Parts: sequence; C-alpha cells; structure tokens
Amino acid sequence: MNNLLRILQFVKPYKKKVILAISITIIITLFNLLIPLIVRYIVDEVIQKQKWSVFSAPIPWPILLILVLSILTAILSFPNNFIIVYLSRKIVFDVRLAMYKHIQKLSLRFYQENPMGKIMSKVMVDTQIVSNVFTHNTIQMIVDVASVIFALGIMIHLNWKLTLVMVVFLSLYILNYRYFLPKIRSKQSFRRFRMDQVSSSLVEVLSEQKTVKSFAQERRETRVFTHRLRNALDIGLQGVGYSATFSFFSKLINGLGNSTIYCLGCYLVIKGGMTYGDVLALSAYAARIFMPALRFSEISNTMAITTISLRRIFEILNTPVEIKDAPGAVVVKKFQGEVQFKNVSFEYEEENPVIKNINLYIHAGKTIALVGETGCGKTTLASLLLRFYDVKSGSITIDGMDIRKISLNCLHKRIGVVLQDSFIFNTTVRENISYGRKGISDKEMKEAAHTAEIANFIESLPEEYETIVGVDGIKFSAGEKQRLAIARAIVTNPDLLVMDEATSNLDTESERLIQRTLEVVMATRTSLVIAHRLSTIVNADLILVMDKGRIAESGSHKELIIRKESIYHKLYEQQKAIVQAESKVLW
Amino acid sequence: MNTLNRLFQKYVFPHKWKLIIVILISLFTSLVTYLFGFMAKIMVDIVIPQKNILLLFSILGGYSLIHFFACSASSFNRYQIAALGQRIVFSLRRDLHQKLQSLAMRYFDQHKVGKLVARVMDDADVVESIATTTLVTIITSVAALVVAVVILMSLDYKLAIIALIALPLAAISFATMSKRLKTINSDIRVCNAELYSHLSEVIAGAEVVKSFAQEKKETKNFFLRSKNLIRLFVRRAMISTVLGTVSAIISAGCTGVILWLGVLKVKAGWPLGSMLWFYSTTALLFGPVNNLTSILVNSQYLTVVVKRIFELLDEKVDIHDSKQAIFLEKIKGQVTFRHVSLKYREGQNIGLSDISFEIPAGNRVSLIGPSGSGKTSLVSLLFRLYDPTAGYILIDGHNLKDVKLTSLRSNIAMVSQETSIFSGTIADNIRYGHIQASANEIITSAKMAEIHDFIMSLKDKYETEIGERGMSLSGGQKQRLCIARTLLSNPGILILDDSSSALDAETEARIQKTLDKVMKGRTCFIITHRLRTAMQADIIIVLREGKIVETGSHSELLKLNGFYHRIYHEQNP
Repeated sequence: MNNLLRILQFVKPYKKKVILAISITIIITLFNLLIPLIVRYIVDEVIQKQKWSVFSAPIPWPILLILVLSILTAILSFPNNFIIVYLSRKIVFDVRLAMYKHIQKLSLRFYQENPMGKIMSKVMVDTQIVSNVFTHNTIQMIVDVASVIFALGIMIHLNWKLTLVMVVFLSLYILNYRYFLPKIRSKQSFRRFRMDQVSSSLVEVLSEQKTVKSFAQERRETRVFTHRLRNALDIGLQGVGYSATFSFFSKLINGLGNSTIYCLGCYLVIKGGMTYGDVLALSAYAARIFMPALRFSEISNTMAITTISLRRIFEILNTPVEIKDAPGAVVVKKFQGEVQFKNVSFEYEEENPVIKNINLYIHAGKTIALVGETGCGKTTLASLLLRFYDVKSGSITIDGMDIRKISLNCLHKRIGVVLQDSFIFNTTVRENISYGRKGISDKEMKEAAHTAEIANFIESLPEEYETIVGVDGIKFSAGEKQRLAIARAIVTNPDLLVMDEATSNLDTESERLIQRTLEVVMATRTSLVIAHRLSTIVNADLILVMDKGRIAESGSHKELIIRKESIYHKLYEQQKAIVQAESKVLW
Repeated sequence: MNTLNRLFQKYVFPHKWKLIIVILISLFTSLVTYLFGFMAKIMVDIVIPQKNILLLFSILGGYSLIHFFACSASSFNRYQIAALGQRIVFSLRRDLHQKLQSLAMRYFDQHKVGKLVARVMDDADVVESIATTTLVTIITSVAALVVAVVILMSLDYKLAIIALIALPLAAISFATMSKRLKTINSDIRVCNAELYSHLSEVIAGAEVVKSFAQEKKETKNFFLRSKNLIRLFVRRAMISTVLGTVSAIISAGCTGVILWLGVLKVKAGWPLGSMLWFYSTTALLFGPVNNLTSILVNSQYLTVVVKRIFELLDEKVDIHDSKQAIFLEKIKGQVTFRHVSLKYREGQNIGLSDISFEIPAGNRVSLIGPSGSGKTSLVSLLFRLYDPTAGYILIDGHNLKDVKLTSLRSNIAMVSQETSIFSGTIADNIRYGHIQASANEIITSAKMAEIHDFIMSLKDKYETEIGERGMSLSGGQKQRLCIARTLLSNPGILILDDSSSALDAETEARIQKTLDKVMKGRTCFIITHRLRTAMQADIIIVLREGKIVETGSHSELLKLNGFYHRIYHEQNP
C-alpha cells in the first residue's frame, strides 16, 4: 500500500489531467444515476397512471432527456478515455525512465548482484504492469464512493427495509474479499518470482550459446527451462484456482442480492406500499452499489499484481546510490596526473578484504605497472581509481584532491580506460571508437585506429568505419575487439590512462607493434598498466608487484630484477623460461 | 489471420475437448444473463396483477438455484480459461526455447539476445492474455447476440429490426480503422523489441558506459526510444477511443428510441412486462457487440505477436541431425578437411576458402597465422557450430553431417579465448556438460586445472555461487574453471585456443604441464602464437586470410624455404 502511495508521486505532474478525468467521470456517473429515476417516472406516472399526454409530443421529454443524457455520456467519455489511456502509458514511460536513470547511477556492485534478466524484467515487465494504476476502473473507483452514497440515499428514501437487506449482502461480500485476497496475492507474488528466474536463466543460456552447443547441452537446457516454467505454471494455476473461487462467491452474492431485492420489492408492490416503478429504480440502484463492489474486487485483484510489481520497481529505485557526486563536487578541466593511494583497503564482501592497506604514490606523467598472480587485486585497484567502488578505508587522491570530491563525470572523462574483456557495442566501428567523445573528426578517429593498429583491418572491410560490429554485422575476434577498445580509450585524449591487460588477447607481434605506439601515448600522461606479460612493462617507471591484496615489492625493472629473492625476479625467471622455451613468438 | 489459424491449430486444438466444454458452459451462462429480464416480465405481467405470492417466491427460489449453477459454471470456466492460457503459453515457450537451442551459431551472430528474450517472454505473455479470451469471447459474444436477437424477434420483430440496425453501423466503423490499427500494432512490437535490446546492451556494457561517463547519452537514447513507443500507444488509444465513442453513441441512441417506441406500443396494448424485457435486452445487446469490437482490435495485436513468434519457430534449422545420422560412442580423432570453405555472410570474404588436410588420429596439430586468418573459424567447423559453405569434413571417416550432433560435441572439447561462466555453483560450472560427474571427478579436474586450492579457500568451497557472467571471479580464475570443465569431459579431440592468455606466468607454466599430459593420445588442435608450441606439433598448418599457406611438420616446413622458413629465421637469426 505504501508503494501504491509512492507511485502517486509519478502522477503528480499530471494532476490537472487527473482532476479533469475525475470530474468528467463524476458528471457521467450523475447522468447515469438519473436515468433510473426517469424510467421510474415513465413506468409509474406515464404507463400505470395512463398519462399518455406526455408521449403525445413529437419527442416526449423523458425520452429526450434519456437520449441527451446518454449521448452526452458517450461524448464526454471520449476525452476521458483518452486521458486515461494516455496517462497509463505515460506513467509506464516515466517510471521506466526513472528506473533507467537510477540504474545508470548505481555502482558496478549492483550489476554484479543482479543478473541482467532480472533487471530487464523489472524495467520492462513490471513497469508495464504499473499502467494498471490508471484504468477506467481506478478512476471510477474514486467516483464510486460518491455514487454509492448517492445511490444509498435514494434507496433509503425509496425503501429502507430493502436497503437493509442489501447491506447484509454487501457485508457477505466484504467477508469473501477479505478471506481470499491475501491468498491470491501471495500466489501471484511467488509466480512473479519464479518467472524472474526463468527469464534470467534464458538470458544467460542465450548469451552463452556457444558453450551450450560445444558441450552438447541444448536438450538439457531446454529441459531445465521447461522444468522452471512448469514450476511457475503450477503456482500460477493455484493462484487462478483461488481467484476463480473468489469470483464464484462474489458473483453468487451479487446475483442473489439483486434477485432477492427485486422479488422482495415485487412482494411489497403486491402487499401495497410501493409502486413497480419504485422497484425498478430500487433494483437499478442496488445494481449500482453492487457494481462498485464487484469492480473493487476486480481492482484489488489487479492491484495485487500491481503491488508486487511496484515493490520490485521500488527495490531498484530504493537501491541507494553508493557512488555519487559529493555536494559541491569539483569539476576539473585537466589533471596533472599525480595519483596517491593512502592506506587504501577494500572488500567486495564483508570480512574478505581484497585490497589491504595500500600506499602508493605516482608522479604526474609516469607509467606505473601492476603485476602479480591472478586474483591478487590488480583489477580491483584500478576499479578503485575509477571509483567503480568506493574505498572501505583510506583515500585516493588525484593532484591532491580526494577522488570522492571530484565530479564523477569528469573523473571518468579525464581517465581513459581499456578494460579486461572489453565490451564492444553492437553498432558501427565509428560509433564504437567515438563512444567517449562524440563528433570527433575523421582524422582523429583514423589516428586512434592507427595507434591501436586496427586501421588496416577496418579499412580492409567493405564498409570500413561504418561496419557494424557483432550481431547483424561482422564478428570481431577477441584481439580485434581489444584493439577497438584501445582506440576508443585514446581518442578521448585522457589525462590518465588505465589499461587492464589491454593487449592480452593479441598475438605478440601485434602487441609489440601496439606497444611502440602506446608508449608514445603514455609518455605524456600518467598511466596505470596491468599486465601479465612482463615483457610489455619492463620500460615502466615504476613496477608494483602485488600479492594477496598488498604491494609486496616496488621499483623499476632494473631495481627489482637484481634482487634475486624478490617475487618479481621469480615471476620474471618463470616467464623467461617459458618465453625462451617458446620464445620465438610467431605473430 | 493465417498465423492465428496456425496458433489455434497447433496450440489450442490439442485442448479442444476442454475448449468445447468451456464454450458450452459459456453459452449457458450467457443465457442466464437474459433470465433476469424474463423474470421481470413475469413479475410485471403475471405475478403482480394476480397477486400470486406463492409464485413470486418460487420464482425467486428457482432463479437463485439457476444463478447458483451459473456462478459455479462461470467460475469453473474462468479457471479453465486461465489454465488453458497458461498451458498454451507454457508449450509455446518450451517450443521457442527448444527451437532456439537447435539453431546454429550463425543465428546468434545475427540476432541480439535482448530481442530473442523479448520474443520468448513478452510475446508469449501477450498470447496468454489474449489467445484464450479471444476465442472464448468471440464464441460467447456471438452466442449471446444470437440469443438476444431471438428474444427480441420473438417479442416484436418490427422493434427488433430497429434495435438491430445499430449492429452494422458498429461493424462499419471498425472496418475503417482496422488497417491503421494493424500497422500501429506491428510498429509497437518492433519498438518494444528495440527497447529491450538497447537495455540489454547497456546493462551488459555497464562498465564501459560508466568508464566513459556516457550515462547521460545512454539515458537520452533510452528516452528517445521509449518516447517513440509511447507515441504509438497514444495513437492506438486515439483510434480505439474513437471506435468506443462511436459505438457508445449508437447504442445510447438506439436504447432511447426503443424505450420511446416501447411506451407507445404499451399505450396500444402491449404488456408492460414485455416492453421492459425488450428494453433491458436491447441494453444488453451492446455488451457482446462492444466485446467483439475490442476483441477484433486485440486480435490485430495478437496476429502481429503470433506472427513474430512463428517467424522464430519457422526459422530453418540449418544444422541438425540427418535421418541416417550415426551415434559415435568414442571418436578416435582422425580428421579430414576436403575443399572446405566458409562464408559468414553473403558477399563477405571472411572465413575460410578451400581448406584441405588430413590428420591421423592422435596427432597434434598447430594452427598458426596472424589474427583473423581463420584459425578460430576452422575449429568452429569441427564442432559444427557452422556448416561449411562448400566442401566437407570427415571424422574417423564419417562425414560430420552424418554424425549425431550430441555424440560429436561430447567428444570434442575446447578451451577457448572467451570464457563462459553460468550462474550457479562452482561445481555446477565444472560439471556442465557431464551432469552426472561424481564429486571426485570434479575435484580431480579442478586440481588438474590448478583451481582446487582457490576453491577450497572459499567459504562454501565447491558450492560457492558465482554470479551471472562470473563477474566476481578474475579473468584467470574464470579461465581455469573453463579448463576444469573441459578436462572433465575427457574428449577424443581437444582444441586449445590461446587458452592461457589471461593467466600469469606461473599458473600458465603449471597449466601448460597438465595440458601436455591431457593432450597425450588425443588429436589436438592448438591455436597458438608461439613458435615453440607450434614446433612441437606433428603437423603445422599455416593460415593466412582464410587459406592454407603451408602445411607439414616443422622440419618439412623449414625445407620448403617459404613463409614458415622466413618467420623462423626472422625469430632465430
């Protein structure tokens, strides 16, 4: 319910439209409430009292009134329906956009903890369901309150005893509602949960299709999918069972109520004390009180689904933005590039530190290399500099400024990054290269492509820079993707450069070529290079050897290599052994 | 309409007995709707004038009884219809999944994951909500109309004709809008799928979006796309609102006129009860008419959605088991390529052209060549992830196309450039491909891949959950996990594709040793950049731009005094 109220904040901008819709609905409802009174007049006064004079006019006034009222109703419904449909869509749009904006602000932790399918189903499916907040039914419900009171008033005026009978039926109705609704709701929420699992496993299987096929697991994957689907189906059917029972009782109560009131009314006509026109009007009004009740149960059914979706939407909207600009965050035009880590510690999960009390000073313009065994925290250290995560304790400064005080936008703009497993967008080469800097000139783009040693490849393609990469286009190899990512990073002309195994998928020949051009790029800016092939970093100004989240050794290649007992020495000898054994690297 | 026909043929008709029962019951319940009017007629014309109280209460009793049955029947129906809908969608989703799994890699190269997901999840959902109700509503509405027409005709045929004039008017107004609705509906689906794929990319590439500070640009993108969608929805709303209004005006006018003429007839001696019954039945007449119109609007939408679903279901499976496909228990590993060519897309010169070679079982083959020379394509062909566009491939003397895919693929394993991790436990990931593997086997292969110690250092050990895309593991750990997975399958042919690129020197050396052990006695294809590794192979295949440049053993190639020779001496001056 709380969430239902919260969703109303999305309605606020449309206050005027909502008020218009409600006022039109009130008018329509009033018109509709008048019609039974006119019919009663015709039956009692005209027909039974035989006052035919009213009907001798070319168009008798009661008929004219009914015609005018009902045609006006139809015409008034037009703007009303339109507003309602428009708003219900607009709300979906607004909520989606709000979610999307929020997701963009969340740190990578969120993406790690939430599988893609789950996020997608919340943004796409749940928002769709929120459109239920705006239907004829919900608008009508607001008006119903008024119309029920009005109808009750007329009923009591016509016959209070029969009104009492109706109240009895109405309370049965409420009992029924209170009993079934929680049951239906819990089944539906459980089903949504199951469907989520289904869709996220689907996304995964489709993205990892190559592996699925290589291991000949297609049938098993379909079996697993079907099994999950069946689970969801079973729960769904239980929910349907409850709502069918619920609707049985509500229809039963409704029908019995109507017929009882009608027949008792007729009984009173026979006994005297009521006219048949009264009975007609009375049962018309009784129907008008039952209808809102029926409508209410229908709404609560859809609202049950809606609240589940709302909860899931607010799960995302409520996820705190861990990493955001501090108030008064500084906008920096250019970094000198002096970087300092002071007592930095970090952990992904409680009690499992990945970075342990690291101190590090990088002079502006220098190239720093991080080496160490797989899993020692190199990538994490780079992520901390990029503020993908905030440090747990300690601080990181650039040019003496804590990065938490620098606007995130300029931090990311001024630092160029080539990540491990570079993600390449499914669009043209041009758009991929200019991703970080829109509207670059052709010359700049080609220069970057040359530096990344990919220009020749791109220019060999029939559509050159307009070639679409990936789906619907050309498949790039891992090495080609990496080179594209390098071009994408250097085209932004960053003040700092972070390269996380940026050339690991390249053959050594290409790596050597790139190395030469990259060294020119790196010479003028602070660069943090993570590498597993030591040969690529021997020229670095400072090499840091990481071990289990700490910096174990640091120094230049020359300094480190003479210390026979150092980890670096050991690593280097091992690689040399391999490199020498296989040293004649081919391409 | 043709596609809808197929949907009903394939997914609805298997439940036809249930459907028939549902329809019969619906007919019964729609009859009951008109009963109240009939009861009123008897009251006015018989009970009240005769002051027959006994009859009054027996009518009430009788009506209550019928109403009770009608309610039970309609709840039963409600359950059946919903259950039917969910079952149909269940089968539809199952078939879609099965179909997707049977399609070749080529299909996945050409279609975005987001769009495919939209089809399996969203489109199928639309079918659930519309398909069954469409069918049932059409039948019950038609039935209700027929009953209403019969009642009206029997009461007074002249008045009935006036009441029924409204029906063709509603039909005409719908027909004029129909075509426009159709295009809008299909645009909506396209827009929706695009939104899906945009979202899936931005989520998958979150790291890149962030590191280039492009959040605002992506938000604008999303904004524009969804704005487009809402514009379409509003246009559709406009059309259906116009339709609704026209039909409401017609029905309002009609009911008013009937009341008027009815009163005049009562003056001329028509029983009041009959007039009231006629009047209430006329009012009820427009319910089914409106239902039918809105169903037609919806079924337009349904047609579009179902068409998209069948597009996928009809997709040609270009890689499948042939009828006479044989099951190979164990592959020895003799591999022959005869004039094999591969084009990924028409008109593109990338892939392979005219590749021929023969590898005896148990030999080690190294594939060398610059990036993009076709090494990975060549091994993808071995897996039959693609079929060659020309030529053929033999394994143990059998054409690949005559070998059952499952037996082929479970006998070939690859450690590839790109790692893939499934969400689930570590053990699940290792035993992927051999679900029945024992705990011991899993541990043995993890030990061989040098990841056992790392796994044991985790709190939940082998039962540790790893996230989607394996984000919480480092690149090297992922790679080792994939190696463990491959080792577990004990393949007849092993393919190593730059397998140790993400590993540090020490682990690489250790893994290299275990891989050496594993490679013994199997046919191995090694895609490598290292001369030393290449040299050790029995056969070296030098590829360039999708063609074989030279092939032979190290010493043979040196004697050729060609490409290989030149490279070798450049490296070994």
